[in-house]
Parts: sequence; C-alpha cells; structure tokens
Amino acid sequence: MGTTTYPRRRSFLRDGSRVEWLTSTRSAAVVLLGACLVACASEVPAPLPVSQSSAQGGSTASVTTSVGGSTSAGLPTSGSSSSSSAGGGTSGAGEPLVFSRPGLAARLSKVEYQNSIFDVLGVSLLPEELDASQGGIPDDTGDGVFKHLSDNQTSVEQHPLAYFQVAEAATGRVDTTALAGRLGACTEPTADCGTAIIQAVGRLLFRRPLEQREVDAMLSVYNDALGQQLDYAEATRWTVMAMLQTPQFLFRMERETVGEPGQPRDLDGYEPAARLAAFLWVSVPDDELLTAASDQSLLQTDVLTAQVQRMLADPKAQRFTEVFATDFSRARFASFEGSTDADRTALNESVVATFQNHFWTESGSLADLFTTTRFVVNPTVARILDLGTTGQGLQTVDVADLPERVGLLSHPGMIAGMGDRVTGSFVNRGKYLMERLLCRHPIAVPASIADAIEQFNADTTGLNEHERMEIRMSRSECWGCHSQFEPLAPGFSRFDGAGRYVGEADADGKPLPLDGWVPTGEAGGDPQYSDMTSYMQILATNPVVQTCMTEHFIDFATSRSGDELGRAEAERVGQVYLANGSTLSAMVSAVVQSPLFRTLLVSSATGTQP
Amino acid sequence: MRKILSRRTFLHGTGGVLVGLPFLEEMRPRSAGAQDAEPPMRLITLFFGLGVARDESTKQFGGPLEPYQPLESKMAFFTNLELKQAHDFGSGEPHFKVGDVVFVGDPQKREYEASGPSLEQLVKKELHPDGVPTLLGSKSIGMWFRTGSVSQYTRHWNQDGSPGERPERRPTRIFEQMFGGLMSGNPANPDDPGDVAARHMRRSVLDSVIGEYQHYTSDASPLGAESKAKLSVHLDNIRNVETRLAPVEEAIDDALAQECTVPSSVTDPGTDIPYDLDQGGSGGSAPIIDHEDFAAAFQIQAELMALALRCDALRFGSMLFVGAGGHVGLRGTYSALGDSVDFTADLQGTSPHDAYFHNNRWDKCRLHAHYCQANLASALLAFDDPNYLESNGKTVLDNTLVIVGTDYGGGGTSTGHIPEGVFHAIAGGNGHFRPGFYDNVYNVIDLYETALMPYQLSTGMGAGRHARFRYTPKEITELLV
Repeated sequence: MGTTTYPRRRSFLRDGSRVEWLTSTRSAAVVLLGACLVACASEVPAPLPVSQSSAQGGSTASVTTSVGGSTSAGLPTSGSSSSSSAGGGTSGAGEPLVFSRPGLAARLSKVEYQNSIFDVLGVSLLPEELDASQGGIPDDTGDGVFKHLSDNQTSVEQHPLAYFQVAEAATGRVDTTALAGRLGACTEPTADCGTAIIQAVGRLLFRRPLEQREVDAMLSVYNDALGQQLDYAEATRWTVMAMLQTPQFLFRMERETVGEPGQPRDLDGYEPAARLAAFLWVSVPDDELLTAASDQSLLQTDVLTAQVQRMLADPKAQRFTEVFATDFSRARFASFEGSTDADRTALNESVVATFQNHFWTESGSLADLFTTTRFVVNPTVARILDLGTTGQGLQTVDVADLPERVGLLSHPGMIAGMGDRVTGSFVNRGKYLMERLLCRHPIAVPASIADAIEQFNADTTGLNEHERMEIRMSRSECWGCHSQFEPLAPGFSRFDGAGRYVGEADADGKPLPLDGWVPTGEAGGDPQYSDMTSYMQILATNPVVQTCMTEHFIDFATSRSGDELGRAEAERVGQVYLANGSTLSAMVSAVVQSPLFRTLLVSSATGTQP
Repeated sequence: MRKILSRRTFLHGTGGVLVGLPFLEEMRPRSAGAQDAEPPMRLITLFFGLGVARDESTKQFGGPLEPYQPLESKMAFFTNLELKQAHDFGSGEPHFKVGDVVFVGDPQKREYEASGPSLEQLVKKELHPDGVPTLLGSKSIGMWFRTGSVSQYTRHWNQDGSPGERPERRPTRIFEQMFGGLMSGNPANPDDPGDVAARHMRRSVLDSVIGEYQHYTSDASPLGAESKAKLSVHLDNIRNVETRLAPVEEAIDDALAQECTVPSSVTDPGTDIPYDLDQGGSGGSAPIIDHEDFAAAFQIQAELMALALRCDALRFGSMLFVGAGGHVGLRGTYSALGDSVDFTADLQGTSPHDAYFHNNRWDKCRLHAHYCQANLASALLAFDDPNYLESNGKTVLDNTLVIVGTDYGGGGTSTGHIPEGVFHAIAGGNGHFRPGFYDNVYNVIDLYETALMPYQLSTGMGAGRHARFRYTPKEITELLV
C-alpha cells in the first residue's frame, strides 16, 4: 500500500448531552454533536443570563466576557491585552456570556491527599497506603484527560474505609510535639492546648479558620481521648485522625449557595487560596497564602500575581507539572506486549521529566512542546530510543539526530500511553490524540452500526492499521466519526506499542506512510501532514490545537471537565498568555485571573439551578 | 453449643492452614437451629455476559439452562423480557449501555452512569438508611477482564447513579475484605486496655466525622444539591465503615450468628489468572485463561459470598461471571448438551463476543451460555447448601432474594444486539415466588418491581422513577405466591 489519500469531509462529534452547531471557525473545531451520521443544525445554547462586574475588590476581574464573533480562529499571532479583565461582550447571538460555573465539591485527588498530609503533618504515606489493591486509597478514575476533575468523581466503600485506616496509621507517625511547636501550640493535656492545636492544624487542613462549631466537634474527640486516660500526644493524634476524614479536609468545598442564586460571585479570600494551592501545589495553602486570604487582599490582582509567582518559585510547584504530565501522557497505563510495572514507571518518569524540563528549565512555550528535541531519559527510555547507554538516572539528551522524534508527542512515554495494542491501534491512538489536541471526547458508538463494527473487526483480522483505516474511510457508516480522530494516528504508525521506532515498513514489508491530517474543522480546510516534522509544526502553530492546550490548563486548574465555557474562555486566556511571554508562568497567571477560576455561579439551596 | 460469630474469630485464625478447593471442606457444618427467628432481607444480583438466545432459553432444561435443573423448585425463569429502554434512551456501545440498565431498570442517565441505584443498593438504603448492621454494607465480586467501560462490569450503582464498587476478582482479597480485621490491636489479648481504648476512640472519631457530613448534607449546608449528593454517597459508605468498627458481637443478630467458622485463609486458583489486570483486556491484549481455572476462581468467590451471607457479614451484593458482552479469552474444551466447544482453537486473540456472537455461531454461543449457567448454578448451589440451615430451618438461598440477569436475548435466528427475549431468573426469595418458566413479554422493570413487592418496601423502586420514559410497571401477578 502506498501513500493513501482518504476522502475528507466534515462531520459531527459529540460532547456530553449538549448539542450545538457553531459557525465560527474556532467553534467549528470544537463543536461536538450527539450523532455522527445525522446532520443537525441547532442553535447555540442559551447563554447564561447575567452580565455583572465584580462586586468585591475593585481590581478583580470582570466576570463577563465575550466569545465575540469577531475573534479569529484560535489564538491570534500577537496578543492585544495583558489584562485579566475580559470586558463585556456577546455571544454570536448577541447575548452576554457569564464565565462562571456552579461550585461542586471536589474530593482530593490521591496525590493531593498525599501531599496535603505531608505538607501539614510532615508524614509521608507508605506505598501500601496508596495501593488500592492492598486496601489503600483508591485510584482516581474517570473519563477524560485528567483524573482529578470533580465532576467525574465517584465514591466507593473503599474510600472511607481507606481514609480511616490510612489516617489512623499516618497520625500514628506524627511527631505531635514537633507539630505543636511548629504551629505555636502548647502541649499540655488540657482543653486549651487541645483547642490551640485543633485551630492551628485545622486552619491548614480545612484551608480556612475553623468555625466554633467545628472546633467543638473536634474538641469532643480530644476530650474523649483525655477521658480515656490518654496523653496529649495520643489525644492529638486521634483528633487529627478525625480531621483527616472530615468533608472539610477530604473535599474542597465552597459556599455554593451564598449569594443570589443564578448570579456569579467572586470567591471569597479563602476559596481562591484553596483553588490556587490545589492547582499549583496539589495540596493545601500554606500559612502565607492563608494570611493573604484572611484580609481579602488575595482578591487584588497585584497580590494574587505576587502569590502566584511565589508559589511557582516553590519546589512544590513541580507537583503541578508532574501531575499534569502524568495524566496527559498516560504512560503509567502503558500495556504494550511484555510491558512491566518497571517499564511503566520508567516511561512515566521520563515523560514527566521531559515535560518538567521543557517548562521549568528551558522556559519553553506550549507551542515549543510540539517541536522540542530535548528529552530527559532514563536507561529504559534510552534503550527504546536506541541511544545506547546513557548511564544511570535521568539525563537530558538532544534527539535532533533522530528524524522520527520531534516534540513531546514522539516521546516513547506518550506513544506507549496511546493504546494497548502491539501494533498501535489507529482508533485508540486517534481518540487519545483527539482528546489531547482537539479537546473533543470520543463519541459513543451509534447502536445502529455496532454490529457492523464488530463484523468489520472480524473481517479485517490480519490487516495492518493503515489497511483497516483505508477501509473505514471508504465506508459511509464509519467515515463520520473516524475522520474526526483517525487521521491523527498515521503520523505515529512507525512506532510500536512501546514507542519504539520500527522503520518505514511493517513486519510483512508493507509500507507505513505517515500521511494524515489534523481534523480541526477550520473553514480553510484541515491541515495535512506528510511526516513527523510537518505534523508537529502544524500542532505547534495551529490555533485550534493551541487553544485546546490552554483549555487543558483551565480544566486542570478548575478541576472541571471542559465545556463550552471553558473552550470560549480558553481562547481569551490564550491571548493573555501569548501577550505575556508564552511561558508556563504566563499561562498560570492568565488562568488564575480568569473568571472561571475566580468566581462561581451561586447555586440554589433547593437544588435546582436557576 | 451455639457459637457467636466474632471479629475475634476472624482475627484469631490459627494461620498456616491454606485452604484450597473444595473450600467447604474446611468449614465446620452446623446443625440445624431450632430458633424460629426469620433471617433479614438479603438481595444478591448475579450477572453473566452475552446473554442467552431466546430460542435456547425456551428449551428450558433441554438447553443452556440445564445446570439450573437441581434448583428447579426454587427458581422462576423469565425468557422473554424486554430491555428496549437501554437502546431507545441510552448511548454508548450496545453491551455497555445495557449494562447500565440491568438490575436498575431505567435507562442510563448518561453514558457510564445509571439512572439510579441498582436493586441491592436501593433495598439496602430503604431498609437501612443509617447503614447495614453487618461487617460489610455490600460487596461486589466477580470474574471479568475487560476494563474499558465501567458499564461493562459495574453492577453496583450508587444512589445517584454513579458507578459503585468495581467487582473484586482475587479470592484472597475478597476473603480479606469480607472477613479481615479492620481493628488493629493485640490478637493474643483482645482485652488489652490499649486495644479497648483504641476501639473507643475509633468510635469517637467516626461519630465526629459523621456529624460533619451530616452538617454538610443538611439544610444548614452551604453546598448546592449536587455537592450534597456527592457527600451523601460518601456518608453512606462511611456508615458501612462505622458498622465494621462496632464490636461485632453487638452488630450480629444472635439468632443468625450461630456456628460460623471462618477458615484462616484461602488460595487463588489458576497461576496465570491476571487477577490484578487493570488495563485493556480486550482483543489482542485479552488474557487467555483456562476455563476450568476461571470457573474455579468464581466458585471460590461464590463460596465466600455464601459464607458471608451465612455469617451475616453482609446482606447485599452483586456477582459477575464475565462482563457485559462476554469479552474474555478462554482456553480448553468445554462439553455439554452432547456437544463440545474448543475455546483454545476458537478464541485465539479474541473472545466469545467476537468469535461466536458476531459470527452467528449460535451453536457455540449455546455452549458458552451453558458454561455461564453452569457456573451461576454452582454459585446458587453454594447458597443452597443443606448442611447450613438457618434459624428458620431453610437454606441461605431460600432466605435470600437472588436475581439473575444478563444483557441480551434475541439470537438464534437473528444477529446481534437484540434487547428482547432477554433472560432473567429469580432464585430463593423467601418463598414469595412461584417457580417455573415464564415466557410472556415483560419489561425487566416489571420483574424488578414485582420481585420487590413482597418485601413491602415503602417505595418499591420509587414512585415516578420511570417517568423519564413514561413507563408504567406491570405487576407479574402469576409470579407471586
């Protein structure tokens, strides 16, 4: 099979239950529809009804902004504003859009739980305490790129069971005297000292000062322990154990119903502090951040900016990029033939280190992520790259001499995370790439063609992925969906499941062409690629892709799945990011100034959203 | 002499005695009790993937349902149920969107999310709003190996429709979870003052924690409805922890907890069964497992579930023998109904789903279905062991409502995913149901609603619960005694 030319046309994709068809170039790239095979033009969902400027802190961001019809596709080549305030605007239908979402309690991710306990109590959790199969904390699960998003979380019985057992074990390792000393609390077996330690530890764990009701509840445990003739240390441990299981610690909660239902409001001082710490440190706020929150100064743009810079300069900020890269790559789930836990660990370590190096050491941009040739490798990845020995541990190498390796996506850890088949299923790889590059979610298979798909799989046993794709692209019942993600996969067809380069032909001598296209849905046509360099260059410069990358940062920071608000806001945040230097710091600053980060839409106490 | 089940019984396992198959040989049978106390309401669901073609199920014991014949007097078989709402109102891959509906009834809320709780969770919440007074609130176990969709293997759906516990596969882990010790302390001296204080403090800690969850789910909470619902699910699960922490002697009904001896350990059969597989499991990456080992593992699971019911360690649970769609790699030859099927030759790199179901190999589907029924029947027989009669002189199965279900029917003369002619069965059920075969057309909701009627729950499956697709349940009057 030589170079394949597939028929190309536009079709529809789905995003949750929302159905829309937008006509702007950018919107066309993100539109997701409920059916693949049926053309369905419906109106833009009614925008949220309110336009309102911030009521608190004169320098805070406006909560109303625009996805304006005048916006060009994706990010502009140069930004026009460095302000966080988006100003009023309208949707395509002329209505103002409010960039604010209702709050939703977010259970701590496993990493966040682990970090929070370490940061506050100085205790590291043991491997078995984090191993769900040994009764430890369950893994974060859910569809989508990131696994900590609050709207994807479920609770199973093992959660409270593990929280209970781990809390008991972890608090048993707390040096209560040192803890009290660090927090300025006394250590006598008295109610006063109990109150002091509860208030001090609770302020950190709960991310705000405790209410008297909460102090009393925790003090009852402390006093109960004293009543059992336990000493101060033991009483404190049992009390902290209780704190570690409260909803105030295990869930990041905001005062969702405080304010006028249906109206956006700025977060109060402590609420953004909690969001910031979860975003940048994957943990709880420290004393300085809470102090800035206590007098509401954190709501001021200059204070917020200073705190963000301080937090980014802290080594704890490495956690943010580590978690981001871990979920983005999915290397820890690599399941190529013969893969071992050690392989997965090594692949994840290397891809995370490469990501970290790009942003923290090289000060690279999002765009450059797609073209970098600076990989940080360990011996396992060095072997996959056929680099020969590079010694032990992590080393930074330049893979510019390897033409097949261009950008982070060509890192073995990324490729290994794309799918579970030895040959690299185009479908799996295409879906993976579509979610990450275009922020579209895989559509459910229409029931009407499910049997045909199964039959197809049976009929095409023995064909390679190019041949299977060619058949799918020629069938009308397949085209509609598969054309939205499968063309992203051929560029990686010369890599096996482990991300190892296999050459220009498969084991049967059939050629493995790299031709494909990036189905952005842009009016000018989907950009085509013919090799890894041209492919990655498209990704580095295409506004749809770059806006999607921005959306990932918003999703990560707000712990919410992408939606139309996030997509629209990503375009504006991206502009600010570009204007401020295209660094990681610029992205973080733009995200935290976004109304999606700094506000919430007040919920009705009765349960229905106005 | 009656022996009360005690947590200490579990903790004081003498150790060193590895118990393999047959599991029950290590159990101490107890004599029939003279007590007349009625056992509590219990509900277990049993699921198998890929269904039974109606052409086969209507052959009654002359087809794949043959293994149920020893239980003929205790089971009601339904061979013509509808699951059309799964297709008409759901989205997703066919087997998976049906998986959201089996044991729930109503169509999915959205992909990977059911409309509400599964039957055992519904009843659990109805009867025990503050937590079940057993060691475990519920347990989900089974043999399944395709991980791509929660709807394929999840049969425990929470009150809000979110997926609940993923079925545990490894028998040793199930054993530990069902009977293992939560309570640390000194097994050699359980009355150690330090241990007593620890028990007291665990209780105190949970009381304060539960109080906080109650606050945040109450009218005084500053949270919106969705967040409250999220915390409520967590609170429900905490209540189960709470029960496990309470001294078992207080939690167990004396009349039920007669001689109930738990072995010190169990073993995991099948050296090549990837019990901990967490990714993939389909197509070329599907593990290939000897079908006898696969069955042996499920049998131990069933024995453990039976033991847990008998000991009143749990009252609600779900079991799974192959996830929806039948995606499992098997090897070996299986013979039944005067025929045989060579899994080794047929399933190289694929599964019964692809090799049989979608290649119209109904002769092989028939034997695969028989293989599933043989294992489910074996589980039911474990529940029905006459050596372990309960306080009312009946078996665990007699005293438990067991609902068997699957994802598809149709078949025989037509291809693929047909949500009609679907097979279900009721086993046990406290004498409330008339055994036999029922081939009239009913929706699964009719069966679920009717099955709950004798238990006089205040809401059944909930008034208005079926309003979304405007279905009015029909009572299957002929089923009720």
